[in-house]
Amino acid sequence: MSAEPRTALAVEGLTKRFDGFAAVKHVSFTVREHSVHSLIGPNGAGKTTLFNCLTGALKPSAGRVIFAGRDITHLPPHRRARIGMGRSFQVTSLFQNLTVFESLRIAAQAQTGLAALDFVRPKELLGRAVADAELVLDRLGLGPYRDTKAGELSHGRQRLLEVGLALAVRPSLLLLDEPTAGMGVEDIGAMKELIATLARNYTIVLIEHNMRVVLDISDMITVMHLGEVLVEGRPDAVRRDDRVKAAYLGSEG
Amino acid sequence: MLLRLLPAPAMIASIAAVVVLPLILPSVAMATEVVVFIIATLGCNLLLGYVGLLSFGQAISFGVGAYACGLALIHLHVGVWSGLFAALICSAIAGLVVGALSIQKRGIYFVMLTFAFSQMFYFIAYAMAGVTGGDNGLLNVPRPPLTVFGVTLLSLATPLSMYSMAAIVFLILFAFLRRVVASPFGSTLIAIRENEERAIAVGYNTRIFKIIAFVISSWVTGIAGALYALFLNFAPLSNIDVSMSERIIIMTIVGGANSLFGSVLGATFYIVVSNLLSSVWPRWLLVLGIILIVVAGYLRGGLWSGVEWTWQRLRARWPVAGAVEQREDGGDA
Repeated sequence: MSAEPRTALAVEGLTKRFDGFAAVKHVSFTVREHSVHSLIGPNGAGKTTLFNCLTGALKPSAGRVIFAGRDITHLPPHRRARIGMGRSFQVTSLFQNLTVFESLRIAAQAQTGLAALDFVRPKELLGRAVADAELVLDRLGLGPYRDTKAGELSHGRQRLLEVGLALAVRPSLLLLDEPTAGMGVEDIGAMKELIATLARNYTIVLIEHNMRVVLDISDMITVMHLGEVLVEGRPDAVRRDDRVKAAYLGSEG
Repeated sequence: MLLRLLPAPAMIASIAAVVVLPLILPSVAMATEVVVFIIATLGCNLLLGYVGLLSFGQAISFGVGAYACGLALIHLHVGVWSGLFAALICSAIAGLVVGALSIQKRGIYFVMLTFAFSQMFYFIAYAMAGVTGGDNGLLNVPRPPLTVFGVTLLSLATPLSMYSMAAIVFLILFAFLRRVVASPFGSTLIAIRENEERAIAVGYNTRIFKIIAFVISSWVTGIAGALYALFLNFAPLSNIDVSMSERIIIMTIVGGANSLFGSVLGATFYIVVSNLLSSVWPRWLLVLGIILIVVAGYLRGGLWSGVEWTWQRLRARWPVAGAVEQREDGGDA
């Protein structure tokens, strides 16, 4: 009954070939604003290749990526961050020797445009970056670790900071690449809750292997198999789908 | 936390060093050479220590700065300020060109590109003997008095007056670079060094930052070259030789990359040791090699980290009254 939800991200006929091998074949889907949209599929399904096309790390061979009504298919990665796409990495990619606060401040500072090129005044005077970093620090509950070096955090907190760096760039869309990778059971629960909370204010595209996380918090799931979209639907529909079961079972063995 | 407290001490230590150097070194000339190479090392440090770029382009900046200042003084009969300004502009442009072309590649290919540019500039200087003096160097660089609006500040005729000017230029550049590394721009350079992929992912056009760092690094080193030409009244071809880059890089690493005061230590150490040892033992470079191995293997932060370590030990042993901060390292009671 509600008004037509707006589209945050649209992928249209996206294809990525490597030396003739198509890792992603004509994939299309749309992500509604303020929803959690998960991409799942057995290994080799093309999720990561697709994700890299969304972040700009890879250039698609064909098709388009539309973000907030704008064709960003060929926009370089740093420009995507500047227009509101925050991303996290599957393999933790932090500023190892910088403190938690400084890491977040640096990420926030990237959004200040020419002010980031100021080479005379102290960085602390760039108030917007400091304020944004404080906000994310609070939101993630990393306050007690503000002066800890990123490289010295526990794995679980590093994964939190990983998401935090994506959050600090004032995004409207978050691209999260396996945020629970390598996490213990308790940390996974906390991460799941965090993502569910973030979904109120952000649009989230999630790649995730942990099925419980995916089924619990996704609004929509796109199941990929051999580079193509196999099934798309709500969690309970996907859970019952025989094609999905077959794809996952087929890849085990 | 210790680093937070450093700013003022580092500046004070630099001023103290500048005052003490001509008194404790065998000659004012040696002190001048030290200060000149401290400046060159500071320029190198910005790239190597803060952005993590190992560039062999230092000699280009140093040589271009020396030639630009020398040629301006010889042919245009300008004053010292204008000579230094010419060096700044020319070496900044050289840094822009070399930097913009080299950073297109990363890692070892970047290093090789800077190496290639260094060779290229050397042969250009060698081939253009009519301008640069080629193998003989640029001779008879004058050293007019330092004036401001017609008022003579320093004659520059005596070794001490030449030293004073070099020392003042060093202090100005040191203060400037300390601001640079504490600024939003400088903090971004550090982020690029830590993880360039992530810096891009959060929205930085890292190429722009690297190119600007190249330009700043280059003109700082170029000013060192200009001072060297004024000091020697001569700009030798060896200024622009790739071995000059090696010397400056070694000074940076020995002193401690990513600490500006480390550059003060590194250059002072290198020049003093090389001057003292080379007069008694022609194979002194062997000693330098051993020191480099020790630093690379055991003292990654260079001499500066050694100073920091000692400082922390001293504080742990004799806690200063009022110093609340207790550091949890070193289990000796």
